[in-house]
Amino acid sequence: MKIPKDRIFRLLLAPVMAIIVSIVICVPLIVLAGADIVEAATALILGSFGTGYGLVGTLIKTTPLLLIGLGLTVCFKSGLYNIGAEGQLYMGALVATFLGLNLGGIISPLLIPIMIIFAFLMGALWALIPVILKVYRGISEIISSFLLNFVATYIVLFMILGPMKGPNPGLAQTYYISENAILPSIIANTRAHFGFIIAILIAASVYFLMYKTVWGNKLKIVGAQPEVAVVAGLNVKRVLIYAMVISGGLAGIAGMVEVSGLHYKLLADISPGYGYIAIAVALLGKLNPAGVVMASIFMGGLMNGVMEMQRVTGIPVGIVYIVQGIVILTIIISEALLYGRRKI
Amino acid sequence: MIEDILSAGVRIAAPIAFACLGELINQRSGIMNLGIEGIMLISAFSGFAGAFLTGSLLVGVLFGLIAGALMGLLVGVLSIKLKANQVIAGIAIWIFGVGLSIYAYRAIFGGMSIPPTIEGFKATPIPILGDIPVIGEILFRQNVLVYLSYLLVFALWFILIRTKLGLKITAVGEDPKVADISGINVFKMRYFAVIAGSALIGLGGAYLPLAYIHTFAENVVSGRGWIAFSLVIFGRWHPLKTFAAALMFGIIDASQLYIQGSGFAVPLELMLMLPYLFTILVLVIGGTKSGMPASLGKPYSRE
Repeated sequence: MKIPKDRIFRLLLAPVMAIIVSIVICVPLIVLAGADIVEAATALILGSFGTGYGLVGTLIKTTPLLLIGLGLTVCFKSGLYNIGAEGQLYMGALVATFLGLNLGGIISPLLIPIMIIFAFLMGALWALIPVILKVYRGISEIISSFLLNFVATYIVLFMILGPMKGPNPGLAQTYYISENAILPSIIANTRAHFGFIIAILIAASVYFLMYKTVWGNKLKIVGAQPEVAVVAGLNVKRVLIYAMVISGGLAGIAGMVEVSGLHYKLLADISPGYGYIAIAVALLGKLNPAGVVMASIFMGGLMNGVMEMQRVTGIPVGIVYIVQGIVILTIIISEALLYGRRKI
Repeated sequence: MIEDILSAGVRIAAPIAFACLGELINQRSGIMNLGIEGIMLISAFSGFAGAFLTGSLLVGVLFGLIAGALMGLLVGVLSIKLKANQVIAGIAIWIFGVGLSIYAYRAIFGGMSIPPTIEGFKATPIPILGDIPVIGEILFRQNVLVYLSYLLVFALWFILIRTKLGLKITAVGEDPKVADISGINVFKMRYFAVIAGSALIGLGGAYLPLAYIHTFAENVVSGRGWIAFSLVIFGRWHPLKTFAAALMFGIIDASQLYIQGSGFAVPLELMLMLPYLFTILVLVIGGTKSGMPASLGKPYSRE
């Protein structure tokens, strides 16, 4: 098969293929589940971008996906694979909730930045474990970062059932955080919160970091040509550690944003798998911050649309993950078709 | 009490042992199958659905094997034919497996008011062997699939280390170029290894509903695939050592469950995270690359 290699084609092949393959696979699945396909499609469109209500929901889901996706972009660029973002999110949410519960006396403009910084540090610390094991002991960061997700979620569960338990004995939740710890709303009378602005600001910073700084260049060399990096005298270990720390830290901020902007408390299932879905976001965005912004909006819309679809037609929500899997697979396949060898 | 824990440990180890041995075959041939968790989930569901709908546990086992083999074919096409990045392909297959198993379960069984259950494999003591004190109780009063895991580990050890087929699989994982020159069909051999290995991984997945929890739950595999992946590294890609690692893991998990059940004042969540901490510890102790197939994760192309 001969494929013209112009830029737009290359850029759009994966997303278009992903949409087509998803439709081909999901339509029979939806029909098999006994739902009406027109009703399902309508719900998907209205729930994602078709109504104001849908758009707000999409924005809310986009925020953590974008934050984590940006971190994973930096991390994947270095050649490391962090699949522990889910756990890093939980740890960030945990520390943010702790501060929000205990430092309520501090005024909001001061407390919010403190929470962001500590959530970043906590997520970074959690990501530091796998990268240290990788750099100094040669242990696959893929496995250790993933296993730590279980540890993190159990720590959170332990805290919210024990020391940080809220008023309702039947629920695994904390008390509400202080009013000063709550992020303002950006659209009046909706749940759309300031977290999205934070995520966009961080997207700009990550873009600057990757493309306008010396460190960004080092990152690219370490990821693409590790042998060259060693010969050039770069401190490869340090670059890898920083890449992972940034990735964990941004996942931690995603956790803080979910607590401060959306739930105002910590609950056991605070993330519906954002840490995993963001892997697809980073790859679909071609490891480019601008691309990741678009990919996160796409995935956020998809998530919200599918939830609406489930509410209206009763289609099982697992279909979100099926589509995520298909998206990553089609990215790989389209890269293979374009370049004939592995590129990502 | 010790016998109880060890006997439960063997039972818990069996699905991990199947998954480990399957992954080991994959990796010996040079394919790093990181989608193992997703394959186990799909097979767990297929096995459960097969057994529930036909009433036959054997059909359940068969469904698990077939689902695993089909996923293996997908892994093969991605990593052998398309020469994809095997880490990303693995992540994709894992997420896809999570989605497909949850979706299929809710689509088929979601309408039921009580979660559906199956009879499941029961313990069938082996005559004579089962009567040996202590050892008999631990090893030979188990279900049929556990016995199958004993047979399998020795069979696999024999095949991989002592036969021509095993030598060929190892050769394409070590140096596919040399293997190719000496007349081995690298692609065919890798497809064979990845499909056969994934079928075994599927058996590990199907074990969970068929012989362990006797129903299907959305998080039924809960990291066992990743744990199996780690234990292959710890077992230095050797069937017997890897099997021993799986047994050790089973015993640790069984002890943890025993402590939970015995009413010690240890928080449940802390006990539940033990198996994962243990696996990380295992990697820290024995997670070196010695024994790793030299061409693991590297696609092969003929120039």
